[in-house]
Amino acid sequence: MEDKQIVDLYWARSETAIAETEKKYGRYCHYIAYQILASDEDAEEVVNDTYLKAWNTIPPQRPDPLKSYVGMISRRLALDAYEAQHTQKRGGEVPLVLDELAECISDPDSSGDMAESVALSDALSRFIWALPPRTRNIFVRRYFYMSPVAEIARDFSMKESNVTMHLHRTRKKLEQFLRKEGFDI
Amino acid sequence: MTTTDLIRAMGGIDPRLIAEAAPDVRRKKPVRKAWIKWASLAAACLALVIGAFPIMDLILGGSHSDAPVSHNYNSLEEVHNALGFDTLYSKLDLGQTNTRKISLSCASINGDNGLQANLEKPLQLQIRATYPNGEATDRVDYYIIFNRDSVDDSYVGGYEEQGLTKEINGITVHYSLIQDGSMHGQAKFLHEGNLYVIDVNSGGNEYNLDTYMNMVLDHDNADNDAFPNNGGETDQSSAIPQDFAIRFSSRYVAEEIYDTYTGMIQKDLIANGTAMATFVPSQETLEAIYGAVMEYQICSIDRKLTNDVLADKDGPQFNMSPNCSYEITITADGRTYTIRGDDTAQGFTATDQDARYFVSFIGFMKSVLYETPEYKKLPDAVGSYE
Repeated sequence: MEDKQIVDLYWARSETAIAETEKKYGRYCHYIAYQILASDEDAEEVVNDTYLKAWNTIPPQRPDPLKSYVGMISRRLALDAYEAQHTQKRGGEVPLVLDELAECISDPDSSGDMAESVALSDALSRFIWALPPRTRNIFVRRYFYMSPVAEIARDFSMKESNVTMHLHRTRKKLEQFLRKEGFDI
Repeated sequence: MTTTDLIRAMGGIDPRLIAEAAPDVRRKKPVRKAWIKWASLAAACLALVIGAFPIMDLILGGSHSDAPVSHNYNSLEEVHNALGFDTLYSKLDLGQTNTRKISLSCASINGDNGLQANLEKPLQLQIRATYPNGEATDRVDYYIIFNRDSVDDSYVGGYEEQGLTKEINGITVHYSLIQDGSMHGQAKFLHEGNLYVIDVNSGGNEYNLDTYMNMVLDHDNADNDAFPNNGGETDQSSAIPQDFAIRFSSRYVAEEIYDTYTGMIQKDLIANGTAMATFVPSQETLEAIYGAVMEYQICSIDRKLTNDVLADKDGPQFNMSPNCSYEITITADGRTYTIRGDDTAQGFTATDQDARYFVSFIGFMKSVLYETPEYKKLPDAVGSYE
């Protein structure tokens, strides 16, 4: 079923919308949640919460593409779950990704400012769009999907060391870009 | 800002970026139902038959009574010049591949020297290339079976059992993805009356057929390594020249050196002089360095990158204190290049591409040096430059 039809089902308040979302994007959402939580059980819980969140937000939202929308929800919910449990348990790709991104940050204080968060997302989008297609896909795979480096290397037919170097160079560029954009990093 | 802020903000990026980079989660399926296996087997058999078709056609002669004549070519440009027209394979880059074979079979005509290829009637083009796939290699055969305009889409099908068809840039591609056992995939489509076949054999490893389909049909989403001439970044992992070597030196007072010519590194210990060690760079490290050399076009820099050279006499000047100077010597493909500059180049990165690339490359080489295990084992520096 096409995304538009599924969204129409949500708008019509038909519960089939959830079944169709699960059928089409269940595995995708599970992948995202699993990279963060490293637990099938926890990931499944996040996926179920994703459907609920989608149900509660469509309408008024009319997401396009739906795939990214449910992916973003899964990711946010998985990060929430991760933060709730990570003081005791650190698993998955999150600690590694956090360590890598620490290279871009020298000021460890969180502003907690929603406006800055939106501005940062916008700046990140502009930065990523400006990258060559291959580089941006690798970057998004690592820092949005939190895919393991080995998996990225396999999917892009590269050696792991080359992926690591690719990411390293992109992070350096990101650091310069964010400074130039005036972010306190 | 914290790293968590950054991670959270990544969740709010443009949804199109997220969709574009989405992993292929279908490949995670660990279990295949019995009927799918049978369907795969049937598809594989059919693929074999269809894959063998060009050869059978050539053996049986098709509508041509004389045996076909084949020629090998050294480059895609040569074969397209011979054909007199470009095909969808004209932009394939074989530079990164380890082996290649470009063979064109044509109907024959009787010429002065006996049977000759009738280039007006090409029968089949075959391009064989290999690509790195992790630690293994994919063997990819690209075929064109010419003048099959009487063949409809059902001919290129055969994979309906798996339901695998996709639309790429307006072309319907039928393909198989047999990931268990044979690890063999094929994509077929019709274009301008010719049948294109992309045949991937990964020798038992998992492969990504999309990569090869996109190389031919969707350059925007193609692996840019395959198109280094199209302005994409290059992964030169297989194209590194055999004589590639680099000496990188940075100097405040004493030098820090990373030298693959002699296999020597040197650390500036500031108040305690310098310390040296020998090392052998791994092939992966050399490939990464060479990739950066190409990405930042370092060898094309032909001037000293310092404030004295970069700044207008009457314009703003950029000075650094302390100022570190750099010298990079690179040998590749029989030529040696020397590039010099200093930290004042940082003042010109917004306006001068050479300066921008130079500064980026310096940063990269410093990280390579600092990450070298032998460098890490050297004593700590004492003091600092003020």
